[in-house]
Amino acid sequence: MLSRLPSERISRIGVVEFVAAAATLVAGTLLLRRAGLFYLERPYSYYFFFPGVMALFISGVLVFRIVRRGEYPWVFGLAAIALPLFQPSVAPYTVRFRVVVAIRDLALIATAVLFVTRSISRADELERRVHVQAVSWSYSAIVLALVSYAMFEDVLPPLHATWVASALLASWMVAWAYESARYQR
Amino acid sequence: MKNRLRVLRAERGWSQAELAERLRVSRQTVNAIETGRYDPSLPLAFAIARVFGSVIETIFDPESSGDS
Repeated sequence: MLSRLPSERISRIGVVEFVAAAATLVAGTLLLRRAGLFYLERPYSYYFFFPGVMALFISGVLVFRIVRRGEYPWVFGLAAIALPLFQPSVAPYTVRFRVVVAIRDLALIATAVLFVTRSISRADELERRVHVQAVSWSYSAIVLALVSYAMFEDVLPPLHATWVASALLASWMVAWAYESARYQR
Repeated sequence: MKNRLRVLRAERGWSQAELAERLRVSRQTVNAIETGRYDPSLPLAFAIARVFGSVIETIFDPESSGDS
């Protein structure tokens, strides 16, 4: 059962588990994608499929451990990595695939919203202050980056909406980690 | 803002985690208050005073400011 008390904000084990969860998430997704490419050639497919499922399972276990300790902002970082991996625009352009992708993304977003609300509701006054400072930094940085991009958008490659969402989450997590560490020193 | 939180806690033999549990805040918040990096809100300051059976003025020194 989850504790009702505010969490330990940032811990060494949290950093280690976040890095391991991110690595296994990327590895698992790439392996399953390879398995999908070779699904007609059964032996090759299995070589990629089972390690892929195992890597995603390990990533899931690590995320569960992070969530149990209440270090929710690491999940924002994982979402920032997952969004470009599961980019909806790379799904085949058929109604069936796009509906599947839409349901998957809505489930992911609903989970992320749940983590954000739980994170804020369980936070004490200092942790809320840390979140406000982190969001301020990340929002400002992304607005600055977008305005800078807009000045050269006619010569730069197109910017995917998923990347912007990913950058927002990633910068929030980085700013949260920095601000938390600043108060913990 | 300087405070006597560490001294009062040591007198009662409480760890930061124990005090945090009594105040319903995280251990890091207690640590940040003790080291003067964070000034608590008025409700939390009253809760701290209540836990130590004291008044705010005897725990916090308003003359010095150290909140970042």
